[in-house]
Amino acid sequence: MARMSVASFYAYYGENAALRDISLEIPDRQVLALIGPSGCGKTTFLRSLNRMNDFVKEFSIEGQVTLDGVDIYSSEMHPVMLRRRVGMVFQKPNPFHKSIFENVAYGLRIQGIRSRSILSDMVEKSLRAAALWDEVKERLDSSAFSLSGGQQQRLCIARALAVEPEVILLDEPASALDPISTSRIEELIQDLKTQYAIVIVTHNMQQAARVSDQTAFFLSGELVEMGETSRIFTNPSDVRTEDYITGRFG
Amino acid sequence: MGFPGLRVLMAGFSASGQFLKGVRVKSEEMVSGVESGEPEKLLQRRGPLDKRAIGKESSIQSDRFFGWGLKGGGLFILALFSVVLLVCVVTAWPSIRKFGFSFLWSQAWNPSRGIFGGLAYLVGTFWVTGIALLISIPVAIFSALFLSDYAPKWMSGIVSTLMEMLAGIPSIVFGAFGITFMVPLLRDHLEPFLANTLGKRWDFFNGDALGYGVLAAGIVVGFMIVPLVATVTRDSLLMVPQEMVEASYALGATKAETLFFVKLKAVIPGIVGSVILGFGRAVGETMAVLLLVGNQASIPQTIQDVGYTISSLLANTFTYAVIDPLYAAAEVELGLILLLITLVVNTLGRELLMRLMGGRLAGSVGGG
Ligand SMILES: Nc1ncnc2c1ncn2[C@@H]1O[C@H](COP(=O)(O)OP(=O)(O)OP(=O)(O)O)[C@@H](O)[C@H]1O
Ligand SMILES: [Mg+2]
Repeated sequence: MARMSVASFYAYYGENAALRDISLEIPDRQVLALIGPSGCGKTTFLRSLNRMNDFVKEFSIEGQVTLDGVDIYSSEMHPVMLRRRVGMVFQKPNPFHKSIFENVAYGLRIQGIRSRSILSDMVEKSLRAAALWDEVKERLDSSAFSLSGGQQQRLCIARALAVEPEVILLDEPASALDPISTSRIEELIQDLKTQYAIVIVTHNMQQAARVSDQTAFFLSGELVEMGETSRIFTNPSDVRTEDYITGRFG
Repeated sequence: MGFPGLRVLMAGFSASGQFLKGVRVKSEEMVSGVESGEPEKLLQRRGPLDKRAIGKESSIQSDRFFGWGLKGGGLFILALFSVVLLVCVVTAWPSIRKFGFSFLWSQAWNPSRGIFGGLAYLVGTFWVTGIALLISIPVAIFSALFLSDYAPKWMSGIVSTLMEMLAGIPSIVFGAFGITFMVPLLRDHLEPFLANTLGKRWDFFNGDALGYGVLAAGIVVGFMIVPLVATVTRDSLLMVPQEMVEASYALGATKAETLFFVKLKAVIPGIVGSVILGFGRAVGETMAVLLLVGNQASIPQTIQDVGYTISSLLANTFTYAVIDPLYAAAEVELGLILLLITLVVNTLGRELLMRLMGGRLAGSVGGG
């Protein structure tokens, strides 16, 4: 069953169409990998799924995106409610000017959770899930900016997990991570997909093949093809997909 | 006393000028040496590596001389500070020796009998500064938030320009505004209102409505600080990285939540820094206070009372105090205390910043 579905979707920065005629389904309890060369519109697409592009001036859309059948760009769904259900980890780590603990607790606090014990439990659980707990458990009160870039990225993952969204959007979450953290994150994704729908952007073909169930290949703003990951990587129907995954361009 | 600081400065400047000249001559020699040198030398030197090395050498040298020039500038500040401090201490010494610490808690101020105690002026200064900060900080922060996040572009442009103009208005004009506008407003409306409401419960608000006094001075000085704090806060807010703001929205935060819990938090160093500057300005503000505070050396008991501040005392009386060494010493000692207070506030502010940022200022915006 599809959690989100996108139909004839166009996205524009001013006059420039960054996405053209995209139609796809985001299945529940599966991982969808978005692949494609730099600048092809993967981030734009991801940010269209939780309306983060609303903050970009001159940005406009056409077409439809639904979450559980409700049009997310209609007045039936408030963007704030949408973003509580569709969480996101950005391409660059972006922690707050707060302690490690407060970074993770932030999303819970704004939902009105005040109980210190609930907050502590959730923070620990999320940090463990993001493979960061052991490194920070001694210094939860120090600034998030005292962490390394890779640790900051895992902190951002923990922060997104803490609010327990239904759909999780990951924009190259492992690009700044070492192989060990990367494999922890990949394990985490496998865990999460038992509960959530996950969309992950990655430039790493092996990673896409390892973690995803479905793969969508984007090229200059268009969706070239989408299908079962095993099929896309062994028997793509479009020659451009084949060229890309075999490294002949991009 | 002379001006050793000035001499140091001059020496620094002429010296660095010569250094720079030296660099130019040297590098010219090097270039011509390469061009007109003997064939063997030419061959040796012609390699691209050598050429790069020559250019590097001279730029390293000029870098060093530039550093010395900057050190001269730094030394000047140091010298100026030392001279001012020394002159103040020497002048204030008779009073410091005669009254010791009792100067701080004695209220007796009798120039004709040679008895001086600064308590009334210290308290008056604190009253005016406290009221000014209490009024200006929230107003400034809210207007900064409005300008950076809520006002449409054209409006924030206009308001920002007006604010910068406000910051440039001479304090005597603010004083005149205070006399013609604030004093009647306070006397006829605000002060009676305070006395009849809050004053019923707390004597603190139940004074005579005179118009002039610490409240009038505090409010007007507060107005004078608002542009300062608001401008710095707005600039810091505008520099908060968009990614951090987006992170908050992506977690389902509303605009107000993002503003208060993320953006404001990120600009605390900027706010603390500008408040410290504002504090310095309020403590030292002279003309506007002199016109409004009432200039009466009594310790204010209610918010409506008149008082006297250190800077307005000096402005009013220093020209004739200077004739009597002890009188002058007492006034300069008050000035010194003002300086010390500013230093302490600066240091505490820094300390506070470090605490707030968890010992790290990395990545923060508009550090003060
Ligand atoms: N804020 C913006 N304003 C204008 N154009 C933009 C903006 N963001 C992206 N674009 C353009 O939209 C196109 C798609 O960009 P997008 O960031 O979605 O690519 P991407 O696939 O995520 O690339 P990468 O793999 O490098 O992250 C690019 O041509 C880019 O220049
Ligand atoms: Mg991208």
